[in-house]
Amino acid sequence: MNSSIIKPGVVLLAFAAVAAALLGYVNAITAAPIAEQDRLTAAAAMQKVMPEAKSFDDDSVVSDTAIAVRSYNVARDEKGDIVGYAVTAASKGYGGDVVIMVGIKADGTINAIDVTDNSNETPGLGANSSNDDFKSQYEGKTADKEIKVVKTPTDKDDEIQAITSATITSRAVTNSVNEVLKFYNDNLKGGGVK
Amino acid sequence: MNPIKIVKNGIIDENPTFMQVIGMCPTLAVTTSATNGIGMGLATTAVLACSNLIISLIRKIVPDQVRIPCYIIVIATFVTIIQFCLKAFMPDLNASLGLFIPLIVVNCIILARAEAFAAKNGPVASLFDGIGMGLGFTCALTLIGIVREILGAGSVFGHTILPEAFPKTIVMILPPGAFFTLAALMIVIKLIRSKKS
Repeated sequence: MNSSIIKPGVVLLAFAAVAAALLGYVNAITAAPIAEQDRLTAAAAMQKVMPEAKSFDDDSVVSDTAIAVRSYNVARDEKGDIVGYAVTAASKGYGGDVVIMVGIKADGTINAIDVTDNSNETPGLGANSSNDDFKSQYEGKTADKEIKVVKTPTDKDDEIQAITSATITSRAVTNSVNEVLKFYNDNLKGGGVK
Repeated sequence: MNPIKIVKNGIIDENPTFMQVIGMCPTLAVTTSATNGIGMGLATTAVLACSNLIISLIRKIVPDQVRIPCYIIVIATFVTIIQFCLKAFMPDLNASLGLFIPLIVVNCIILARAEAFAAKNGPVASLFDGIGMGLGFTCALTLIGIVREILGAGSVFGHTILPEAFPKTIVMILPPGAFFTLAALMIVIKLIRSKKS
């Protein structure tokens, strides 16, 4: 062994060790605030889709990874009665999973939806799914009919108009909404919370 | 060298995008809108200025044979720390720039400047080189973003400017549009420069 190998190796080791120590330290001090921020973001999304609710129960996880309903939160008014649910669901979009949250009233009417993650969709096309023009189309839809995606303006109760040139993303959001409606009919209808 | 000259060099004479043609992946991928261009550019500027400064400070203690792995460790560590801190303490800034931070690690401008400038120059000059190159990158990305957003979505910085009736060329915000725009802008810039000289 000669020193032309040992010295660079030792320096590289020192760099890696310092970097690892720094990263460990920063991770330790930021882990709690990051978890808190995630919780706040989720709470803000729930409040957005169910503004009437005064409080939300903790997450009821259905499936962490499913392409369908992932989790839901029971929304309650000040007396603690159930006013609805905030349900999180995901479907395959153009570039990855599109995650949405649906605010559904206790009677099965959609209050509002929010697209919580469309970061894999094309900016300017599929990413427009977070625009209010598109999202507001789902408001007032009911759990008794499956929603269909059409490409022209529509005023039928069970149809929504796709975003121009982003039919795949529009379908992904609609699939998720339909899954949520099905989940509501099967599990939540009539206050059937376990 | 005076700092102003170094900054101007980065923005105009050696613009990383139009003159050096480095950092093409983020240039082509994120410039679908003016806002994305400016976000990626500013995030890169911040990281580039700081990484240049640190690399210039350590340039004498790093043996030549292992300088590249050392630079990469420094840059990656630095970017990860920024990302954690943004997520934890600046959620608003994280919402607008957070998306671009992980992309910066793989941005070759950072390593190119570390190798070409910071490894050979003092800390102050390196800091200004980082700022200049970063701003040059920001200008280029914003320009490409503006062109693509106008043609592809009829808006600038999210504000609609073209009338609804004006046909939108959707290909401009898809990947091929990035190549078209970059090529067209390079032609224009070369023409202007050749006229000047």
